[in-house]
Amino acid sequence: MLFLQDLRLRRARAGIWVLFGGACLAASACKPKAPPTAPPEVAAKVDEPAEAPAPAPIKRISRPKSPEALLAAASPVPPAAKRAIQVWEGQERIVDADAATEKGLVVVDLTDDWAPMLFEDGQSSDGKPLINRYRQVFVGLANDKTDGDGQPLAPHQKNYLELFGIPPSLSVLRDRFLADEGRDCTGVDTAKLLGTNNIPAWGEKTEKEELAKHERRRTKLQKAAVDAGLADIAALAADTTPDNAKLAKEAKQHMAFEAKRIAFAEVEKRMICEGRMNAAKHKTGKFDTALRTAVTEFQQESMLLERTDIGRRTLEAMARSIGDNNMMALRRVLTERATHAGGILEDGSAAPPTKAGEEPVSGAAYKTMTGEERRVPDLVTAATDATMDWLGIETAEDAYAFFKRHKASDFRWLKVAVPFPEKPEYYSDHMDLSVEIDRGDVWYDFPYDEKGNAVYQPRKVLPSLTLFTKYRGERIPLVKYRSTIGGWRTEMASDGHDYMRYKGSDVGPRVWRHIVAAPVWIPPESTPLGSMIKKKWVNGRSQFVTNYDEVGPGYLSAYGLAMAINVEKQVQRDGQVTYFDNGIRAHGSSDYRSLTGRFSHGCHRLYNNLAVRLFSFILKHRERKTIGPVNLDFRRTFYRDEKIFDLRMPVRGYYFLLDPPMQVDVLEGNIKGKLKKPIEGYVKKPGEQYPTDRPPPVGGTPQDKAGGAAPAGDGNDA
Amino acid sequence: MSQLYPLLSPMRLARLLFCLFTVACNKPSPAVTAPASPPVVAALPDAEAPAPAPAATDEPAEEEDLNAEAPEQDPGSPNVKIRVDVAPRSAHPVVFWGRQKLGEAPVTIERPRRSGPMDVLITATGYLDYHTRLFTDRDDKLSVVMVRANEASNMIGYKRRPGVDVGEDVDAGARATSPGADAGASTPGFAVPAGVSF
Repeated sequence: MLFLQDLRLRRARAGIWVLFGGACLAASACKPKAPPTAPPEVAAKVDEPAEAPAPAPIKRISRPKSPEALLAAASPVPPAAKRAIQVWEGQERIVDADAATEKGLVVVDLTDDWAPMLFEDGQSSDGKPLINRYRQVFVGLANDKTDGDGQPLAPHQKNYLELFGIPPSLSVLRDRFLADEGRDCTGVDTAKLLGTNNIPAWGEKTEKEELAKHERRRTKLQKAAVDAGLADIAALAADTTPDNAKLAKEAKQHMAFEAKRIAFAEVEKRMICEGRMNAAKHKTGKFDTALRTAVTEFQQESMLLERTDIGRRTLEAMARSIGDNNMMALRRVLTERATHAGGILEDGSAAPPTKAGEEPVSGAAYKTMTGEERRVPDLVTAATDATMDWLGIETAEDAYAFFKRHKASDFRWLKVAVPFPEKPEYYSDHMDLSVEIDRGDVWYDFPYDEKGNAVYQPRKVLPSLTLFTKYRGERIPLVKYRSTIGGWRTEMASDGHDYMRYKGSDVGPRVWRHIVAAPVWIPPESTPLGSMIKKKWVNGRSQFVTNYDEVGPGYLSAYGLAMAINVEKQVQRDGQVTYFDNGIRAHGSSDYRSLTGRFSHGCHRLYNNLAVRLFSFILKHRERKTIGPVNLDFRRTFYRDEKIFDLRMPVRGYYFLLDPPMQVDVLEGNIKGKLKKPIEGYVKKPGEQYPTDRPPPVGGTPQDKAGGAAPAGDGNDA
Repeated sequence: MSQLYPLLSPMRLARLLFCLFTVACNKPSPAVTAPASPPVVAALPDAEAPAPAPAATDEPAEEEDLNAEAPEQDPGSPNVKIRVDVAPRSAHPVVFWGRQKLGEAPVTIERPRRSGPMDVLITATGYLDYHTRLFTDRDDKLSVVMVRANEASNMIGYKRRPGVDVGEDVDAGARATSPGADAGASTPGFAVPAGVSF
């Protein structure tokens, strides 16, 4: 619960900044499809009737399995380390994992001790072990055994970290499946649940006011309906008489709100039914802490990129059966396992899927040695399907059966031998990989007018990161991920005041030399100290501690679970090659909402799980050296509330050196607005009072460039 | 000092001084990535003058030197030893880990290797409580200097109190906030930077 408390605190702080950010940056950010004056999504949808029907039960279409991939049952049963399973015609058999590998099958690791390749221990050039410290934390988190510091969780405490890049282990999923087996949530009316697109998550005061307003409007409209000789408010809403147009509009709004209240009641039912909320601790009709916590857990468990409000995707997930949601979670977990086991990456993101009969999208295809043009395949989906096929899991019932026949201890050794789809011929141990970062639409203009009003700066093309491989002279895109660039950010200057500053993302050719697992972020001294401490339960006592969440290492770190460092190769007059680090990184991020259209401080963020996939793939297919933990010995001592705090970071992270470095091209993007270059230095924020006319100078260290100063609770990272 | 400011290695300091000299001589460094044009934020009638570019901006930030961790004497030992030394010892500082009193400093703590960090609190009569973290990944030593309340004004994060802290010897370079920050001076305002059009 401590984690959740921390998370809630972060969210509460984030909420404040979301409000602030909304006021300050609404115009510049995020909502490419909304018109300039569009109110927030919630309000925009008030009048829209929800249309989508209840989702159909999930049944995966399994393909016929090739008998050639079937291995003979091993006899005698090999030792656990050499054991794998295959399911054939409903029967599970144990096979020899080594024999499977020899046959060209991929052995997918289903053990609880699994961590992505990026977190594997390495060896130094002289053969000494290089311990990847975060691996143990990753495994502890995935198994709901420890918190982000590696400290034991309380019994029954859950982490729910899939959204943050740490999928649950198979044992955790097993517990989930078995605990949910007897639950029947068919009493929840899915039609009512899906009768709206969004239920706003108000604070207590706002909720009270809005509900009171709703009741007042009901009374008023009921009277109006009677006066107009109509049966009820619904009839008033349908009334097309010009004289009643205003009332009809209000009646529609009332009914849309009513639909939200009806859906809200179903949400309450569902959360109680799922065992997430104790009805005794919840006040019916209120979005109180009990319900809020339950919904948050549900969203995190279902890997829904929604927060605060109960949006459409959350409602749809609640309209699905528990079994289907668990089945989807199992598929996501197996996707990560299969992707890493196969050393593959292509997930169909490099080119949108085409309809039957359409030609492959130009640029997302490649020519084979025989000159045949082939589409870049979606290997990830195919490998996941194959894994599920050979586990015999097609439906939620199959998954229940799988987890019932395997006790928890089986996940100390369980692996499955799977024939993966054939890799395209451009694969090799050392692929000619390169990255292109497209900054998309870029606005340098100051996002406020002379009156301090926010200026709308729409972006149709959002930033993206594409990984290419070069094969036979062709540049082939493998994946294309959503990313971020810098923009106007609030930053605390050396005078202690908040200013705005354009935190840009450098343009031009760069290289990646280092990939870092579990990196730490060195906060600039301008980082507000409020976010640098927190309360934590320590060995039986609640006390203030230095907050390492954002500095890392860890999934909440500003640099996420992994990063690559953008450096500029420079050839000096004497021919010496140096590398210029301007503080820009491509890195994972726990601030997954920022990837839907907000700005970074200059870095290129990725979803944590995709960053781990991407960098693991690069390490697997490039020549590289493991450096291991790199010394930092950073210590900053600071004063806060009559206490002294130390921020200590012994290591920077676990480093890999790419040799040769990998090419990165950052495209300028489409410069919108009047200014063609960014404004330098601090700019006063509208409505702020400042001690002097002249803003202080900005810092110039890589930390200042990349990290900036996230205002307390901003939730923003680099 | 080197612990507090690890980025200011002698080499970097020398480079910084060189850059300061370069800026003073109005010769922009060739390594600057910022546009060559003058700063866009220019003075308006009631606006700020362009802020001078900090010297550090002109400093080519070469890649950090990456030193792998030094090998341990006994990396396979099940436990690690962490020694905490606190000055002044005469204050009889005591180290706590949550509710558990670990002992009076100097103290050596033995913990299972890689059992997670320990957030400890060090207390001593007449000194501010000191919160720090110990790591269990390898043997470690930590030195702590306790701070009295009246010595805190030099620290990052200390906010000057108008009329109370005035006149104290403050090392501005070590402060996160400028002396004038809390002095009550105010400039209304927001001014649209030059070059900005709407």
